[in-house]
Amino acid sequence: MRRKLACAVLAALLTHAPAGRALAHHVVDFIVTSNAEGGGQLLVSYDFRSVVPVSFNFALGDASVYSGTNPGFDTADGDEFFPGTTVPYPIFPPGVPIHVVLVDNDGGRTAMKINGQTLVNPGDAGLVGVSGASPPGDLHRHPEWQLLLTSPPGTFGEARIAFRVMAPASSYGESVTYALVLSNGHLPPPEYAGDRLDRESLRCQAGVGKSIEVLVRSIYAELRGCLDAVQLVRAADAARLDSSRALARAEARCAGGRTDAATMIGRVQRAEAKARAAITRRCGPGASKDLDDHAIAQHVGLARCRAEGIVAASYFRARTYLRLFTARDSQGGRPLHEYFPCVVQTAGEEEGPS
Amino acid sequence: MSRRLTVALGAWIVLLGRAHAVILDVDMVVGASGRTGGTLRIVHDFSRPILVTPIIAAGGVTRYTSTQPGFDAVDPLTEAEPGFQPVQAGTPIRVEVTAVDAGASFKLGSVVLDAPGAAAALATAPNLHVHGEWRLLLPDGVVGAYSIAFRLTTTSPAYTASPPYVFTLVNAPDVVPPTTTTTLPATGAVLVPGRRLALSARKGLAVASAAAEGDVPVAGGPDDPAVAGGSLEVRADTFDATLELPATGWRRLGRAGAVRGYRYASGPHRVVLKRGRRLALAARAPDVAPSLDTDPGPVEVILDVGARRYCLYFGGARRFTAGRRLRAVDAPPPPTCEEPS
Repeated sequence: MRRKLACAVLAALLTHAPAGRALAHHVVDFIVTSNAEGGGQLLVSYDFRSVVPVSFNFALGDASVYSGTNPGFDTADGDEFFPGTTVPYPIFPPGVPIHVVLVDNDGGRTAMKINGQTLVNPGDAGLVGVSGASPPGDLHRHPEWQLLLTSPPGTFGEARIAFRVMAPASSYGESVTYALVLSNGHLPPPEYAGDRLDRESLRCQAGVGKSIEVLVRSIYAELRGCLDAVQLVRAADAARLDSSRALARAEARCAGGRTDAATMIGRVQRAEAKARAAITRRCGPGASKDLDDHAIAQHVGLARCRAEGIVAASYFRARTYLRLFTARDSQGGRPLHEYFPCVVQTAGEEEGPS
Repeated sequence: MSRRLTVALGAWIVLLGRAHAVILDVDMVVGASGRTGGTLRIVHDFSRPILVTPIIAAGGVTRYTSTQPGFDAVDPLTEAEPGFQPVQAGTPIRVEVTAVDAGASFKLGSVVLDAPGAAAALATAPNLHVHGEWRLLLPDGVVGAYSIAFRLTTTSPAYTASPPYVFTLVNAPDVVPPTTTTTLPATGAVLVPGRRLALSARKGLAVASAAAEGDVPVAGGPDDPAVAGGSLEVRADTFDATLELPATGWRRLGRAGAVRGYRYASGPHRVVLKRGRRLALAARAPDVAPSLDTDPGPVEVILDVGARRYCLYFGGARRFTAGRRLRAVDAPPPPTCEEPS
């Protein structure tokens, strides 16, 4: 019975939610409102844990610009409620001008274009619209969210953008600061055919899942092997035992290898290449055509980054320990942590070897 | 919601610059001709240009974009009407470019549509609220109007593709798109009251209008059916039939210099569109004989001649005999009709 119920709920979710435009708006758009009728502080109702997906737009020299158009701004219709209550969000009286102010652009990596005006620097502001106005002056606006990466197209990246909304010369106080993460690593959904069971797109999605699973496991295994070897050195040092053999073993595990391809960096790169190739075989131009090369490469980059992030959480001082080793000259000869940028430092982790 | 009401009342207009170009900023509303199938349709004023604004200039070229207008689903409670219904849940909808000027494109998700035939998924009904990026890539300093034509398609067997719709992208508010030039004839849909409709499994279609406001195309003009040809579409929930009416079958009524209408006769098909004191329209097509096993519901008749459209809608006083015929009389003019593309 429970299984039947679960199936029914899932089917309903898949086929009927959200029904109607009003609900669709609320899922994808900001609702700009206030915390009191006729005044108070402006607020933006949205799940700010959501990632804003952006996709490649154009290259600019060595840089790449990615863009997306969701979420947009909209106002309360009277059927949205304060969380956990049945109290509807206040509706603006006519004539309230809502502006958006850029607060943070993550070191110049993010921007927002709204109503023809591009907000690039913190403090830049643009008019969203005026409550009660007829289009095009109304408050339903979709900005162009922009992510600028100093890397070629197909490189994973994400950055933060923070903003406030304000209503100058009105009884409304400006909002708190809201932040979103723009990411180019999220895949669009496969497009299933409507006239048959679309096995190509099913295989594509399954191929993505399998390939990313293998990739994440490979990256974690490589880094785990290196960091476990380092732990042996630490434990030997703590016990005042001779750690020279353990150190040599860690060196071999983390940076050694008879060829570039045999090093940890080489093996991780090969795992990434295999994942990209496997996904392309299932989803690319010769298969379901659901994904392009950029999207695939960026998603593989995201998966690698997330795997590295887990390692950083599992192994305290992971970044510090990776710094102990240097890549082969033929691979750039830089400290190893630079090859794994998502192995982030943990607060309290002192810089340098311990 | 106010946005939607405004769509129904007519788009809010911004007059900018000396040429008074009208800048569009209301979303397109996507629906279909029938409740369970039919032709995909968009209600929107496509005669108005999209103003794209610069995002960056580098290397001698400037990029312009706009995220307006987006696509939205027809609201079943406030916007659905005869001939314009929500698309059934689960129907995948795509956007396919049918023609595009060099420099213009549309970015939908991660896909850039910049050539005829290029297509991308829009949404799966009813979750349809999508804004893409209308784009121009032009040499620095170039100002102008550029067209992009597209249609909606689906793999669902219940629906057929929409007609193509054409947007004009302008990169300055005072650019006058060619389609708004005053020398072109006025276009738009003429809402015609119906006097009688007979739809028979054996005898096909016969329809006649009551006297209507409106006019017939100018003889020799771009909408003259003897020049541009036309089509007659009859559609309901259970069928959708379109007859092509090529220019060769049309002849003008009246004398040269005082043409008062047009008559089409080819094979079994007859159409008359004429103007006396008032406008009148009649058509007969014995081979349009849809299955009448079930009541097809309200019937729309749409005559296109050139870029002109004449719409009738029989939804009220009607008598249906299963398997044999449908008859309807004295239908008021439809409240709205999709603009001809």
